[in-house]
Amino acid sequence: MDGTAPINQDLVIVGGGTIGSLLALALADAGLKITVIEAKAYQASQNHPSFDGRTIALAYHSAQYLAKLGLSLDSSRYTPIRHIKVSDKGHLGQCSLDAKRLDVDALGLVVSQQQLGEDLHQALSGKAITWHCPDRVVSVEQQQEKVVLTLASGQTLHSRLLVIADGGDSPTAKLLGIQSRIQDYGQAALVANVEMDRPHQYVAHERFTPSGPLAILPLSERYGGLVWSLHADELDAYLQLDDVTFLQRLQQAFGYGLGRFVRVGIRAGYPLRLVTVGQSVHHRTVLLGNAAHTLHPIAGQGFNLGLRDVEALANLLQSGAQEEDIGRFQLLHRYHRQRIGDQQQVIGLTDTLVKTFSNDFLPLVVGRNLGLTLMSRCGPLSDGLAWRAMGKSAKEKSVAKL
Amino acid sequence: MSKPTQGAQVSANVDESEIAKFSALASRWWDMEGEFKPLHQINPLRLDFIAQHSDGLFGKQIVDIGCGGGILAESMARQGAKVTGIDMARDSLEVAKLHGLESGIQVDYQLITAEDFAEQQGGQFDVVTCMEMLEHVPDPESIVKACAKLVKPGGQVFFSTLNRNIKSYLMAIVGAEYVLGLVPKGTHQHNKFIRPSELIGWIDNTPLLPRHMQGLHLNPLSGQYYLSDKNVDVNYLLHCTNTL
Repeated sequence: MDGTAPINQDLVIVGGGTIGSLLALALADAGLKITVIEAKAYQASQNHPSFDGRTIALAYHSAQYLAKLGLSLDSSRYTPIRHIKVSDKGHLGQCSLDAKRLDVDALGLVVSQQQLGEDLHQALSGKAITWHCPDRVVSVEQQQEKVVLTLASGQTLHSRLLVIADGGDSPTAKLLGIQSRIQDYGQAALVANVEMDRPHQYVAHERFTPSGPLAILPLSERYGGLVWSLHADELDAYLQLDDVTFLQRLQQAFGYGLGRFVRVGIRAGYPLRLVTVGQSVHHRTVLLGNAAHTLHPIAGQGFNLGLRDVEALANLLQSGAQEEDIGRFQLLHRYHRQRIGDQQQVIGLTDTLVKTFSNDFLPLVVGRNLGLTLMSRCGPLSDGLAWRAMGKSAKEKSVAKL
Repeated sequence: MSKPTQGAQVSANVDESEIAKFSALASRWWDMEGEFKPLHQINPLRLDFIAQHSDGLFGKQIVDIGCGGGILAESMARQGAKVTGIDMARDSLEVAKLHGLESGIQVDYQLITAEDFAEQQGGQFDVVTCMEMLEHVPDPESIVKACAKLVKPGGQVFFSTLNRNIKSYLMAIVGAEYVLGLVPKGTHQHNKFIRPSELIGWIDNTPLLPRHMQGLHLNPLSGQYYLSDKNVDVNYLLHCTNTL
């Protein structure tokens, strides 16, 4: 067989990470010819996710969508958040959101990225989807009726639609001349898992410190997933501290709201930036996930926004699958129209939060203190925040309450 | 509407004072926080309106009349269109060309009037755009005719301009130029603004058929612009199809 003969597909997804796999899974039974191209070979799964796995906070709505796609979200692997506490170091303001008060089981779920990856991999096995893995795209050409991709292996693919989901500052988008706008916050995130001396009671904490926000998400019983924003120039020092000193610093910054920190896993650091592309829809091409927008993790909105994009695109493509061409302009334009409002709102909100809560300038400190105090005093406002954190809009809220 | 006086400069449908005005500002075209900031802000909306009613821009032959520094022309080329941008302000075209070298987006810029260009290139374009331009020339009807001549049979033509009434005077001149300082003072002359009825009257003398019209609005709280059907009192966009 001639390996270089072009293969015709309806949909080619570049990037088989969480977002790319989700789209593939959502469309697996739609009767489309789908290919996924992933650079990294899948790592044989270990039975237990390691202590150092990165964590994702799934908004309530995101969890519902994953369940709809057939994933079983049992609480031993997907830890429910029953309560969110937001506080400001050295100030009075505290704001708290509670699942019971909002009449839901959980405000969201916390899962390790590795676990979610394995579950998606499992769900996709046996589905009629072609994987080129490990392989990567070396050239892309948009033509009127198709997109032509050449892979490092020499294989050529012709596709009606190309979805780019290969991460922030996407190499495939670059091949198409789509430029990313990068706004550097001058901050870095330190990510690690920590062990406490008592159970977390399913409480997620977000604490605003002068250097930036610090979040601890509940993992299994006494474990927490730490995301600590630091000034970029402090990161190295914090990464190099010995474990005991690091835990002391953490305890100092966070307080004793979760008891005593007794262990920390491997610490990893990465720069915090807002990366966006001017437009995420192009001719026969859609950018998804971090390739379209990489957000600061302050409000935990990045993955959930990406998931809502996947859901909208999958629904539209599914309804268009009976027709011949799923890459046609009007279908993609409808996707753009549906999603642009939510995208702009979440990006704007996250950006404002970063700027408000990482500034140590006094009037801002007073303002954010007042803002937080007000939010906890004023039920409807903080409920509104909770619904947003859960990935719903005010409109859906009224429906959800019916 | 007064016709231009007959004379040596009349064949070029150009107001020299308008050219001087835009030439003086040429270096600011691509300053996102400068005099042309509102144009950068509304550009995604214009681009979306044009793309929607052209069934996508990829592979389309487009001429942008009164392209200025190339804000719209470049964004259409970025979507895969083959774009020609024409303008009578040489300095603006120089800026547009320089920016194209920087961005790597190819647009063919030419110093020529719409009328002369229509003589050369009649019926060659899938899409003709003429945005925020009619209110700056002595004889807008002549531009409308040139647009109709440039577009292929079945092709699309887009206009945008400013309505002429008390509200547009208060918002586009008093508000935008004097109170909010969104655009430089003297950018617009209210008596050159064009009522939709006037524009449609000129279009009715061509094979073009008006299809969609939307107003451009500014949300004063968020500072965001948006398109809607609620009114066309100030800034409006019009989509026409060539019925030939």
